Amino acid sequence: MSHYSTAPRRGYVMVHHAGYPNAHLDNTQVFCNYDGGKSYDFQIRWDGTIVRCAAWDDAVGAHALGCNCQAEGILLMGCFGGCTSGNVAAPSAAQECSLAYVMAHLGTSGVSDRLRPHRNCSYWNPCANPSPTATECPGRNLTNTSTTNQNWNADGVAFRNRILSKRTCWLAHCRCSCSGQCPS
Amino acid sequence: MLAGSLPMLLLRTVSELGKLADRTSVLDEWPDDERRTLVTLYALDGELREQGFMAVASNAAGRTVAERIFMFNHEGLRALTPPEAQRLVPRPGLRRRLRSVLSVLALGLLFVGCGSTGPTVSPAGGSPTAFEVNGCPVVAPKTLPSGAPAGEPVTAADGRIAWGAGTDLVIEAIGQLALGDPDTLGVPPDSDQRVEIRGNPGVVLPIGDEGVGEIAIVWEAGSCRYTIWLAPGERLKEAITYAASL
Repeated sequence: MSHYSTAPRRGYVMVHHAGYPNAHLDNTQVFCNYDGGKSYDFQIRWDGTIVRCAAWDDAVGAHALGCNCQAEGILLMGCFGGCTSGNVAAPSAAQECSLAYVMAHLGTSGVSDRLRPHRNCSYWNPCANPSPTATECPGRNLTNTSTTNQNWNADGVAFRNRILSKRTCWLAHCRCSCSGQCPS
Repeated sequence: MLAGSLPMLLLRTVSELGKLADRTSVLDEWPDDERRTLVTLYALDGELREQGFMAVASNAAGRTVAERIFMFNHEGLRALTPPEAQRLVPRPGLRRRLRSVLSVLALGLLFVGCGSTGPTVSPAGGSPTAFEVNGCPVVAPKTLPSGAPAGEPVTAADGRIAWGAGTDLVIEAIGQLALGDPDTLGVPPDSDQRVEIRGNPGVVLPIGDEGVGEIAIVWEAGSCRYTIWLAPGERLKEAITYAASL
């Protein structure tokens, strides 16, 4: 299954959102081009389409200061809170399915702390960046805004758990469409 | 959408002002329980569009009991006096005719937030040129991120105020519409993202990632909370510089 197994940073997956109004409706932009020094490793559109960026197997990523040495950066198209308008409550089911697919194919462990929100990076900072960027990403609908906890909130934990569950489905080669339980 | 208070000092009279409003473009609407009227904000029609809006109060029978036009200027939002408003009404041919005199003295306005009781918007301290939301003054930027003059606000919808357009757009929210306490947004004390906005401590916070998503500037001035959003694509360093220039 792991045909992304050569990815050096597959130990962790960091979730980003696009963070602009109605980004979930945008099927044209591709954020893989190191524009301004930034590139994600994968981009997942609202309909679940996966865009694999050239950076996915680079030793160092370009998606999150402080985490680029350790994590694959996956962009979910949408704004999950904090935008002026055009927010959506959460990623689509198709996006969840595809995110789980990428995790399964990277071979990232199903341990819960392996799927992290970008917001957590400035606290986690495994690459010891002197000034990691504090951010709202991937949105307050999924993450906590507090002085101490910049991680998944209750909805984000539920989202994370669904991804890990669907990842298991993919590893079992289920064709469950990721919308429900894998068939027994 | 929920109501707040609507201080109307004098109700009456329908005039030809109604012709200035685009009745198909409702910007906002709420019931004024205290005065048992429905307040509706309409976009202005024709070449006046984007320059302001009309507030109309109507009774249970649907009859208009008061109208007031508000126009943007370089200092913010101002209610037109009756003579000023009447001058805007188009006249047929060369013949001028007044059907009635508008005598509304004051109208408070409400902008509605996201499912919460709307803030009270009113002229500040009796001045027709100042603009406040829940007693907090609008902070008008001097320039847009490009360096161009900010000019007058171009929209005032959903309780927010905007200057510029496209990639050079600045949107401001005041009070409960803002992102909240800047100290809860996870910006470390010694971060470059900590800034001072007009002498008040605040933070610059990418909503997505810089160069991709919007970037917010969040601060408090006393009891007033503000958020300004810069258009998608802005870089963090430039946003920090811009915040200091507000």
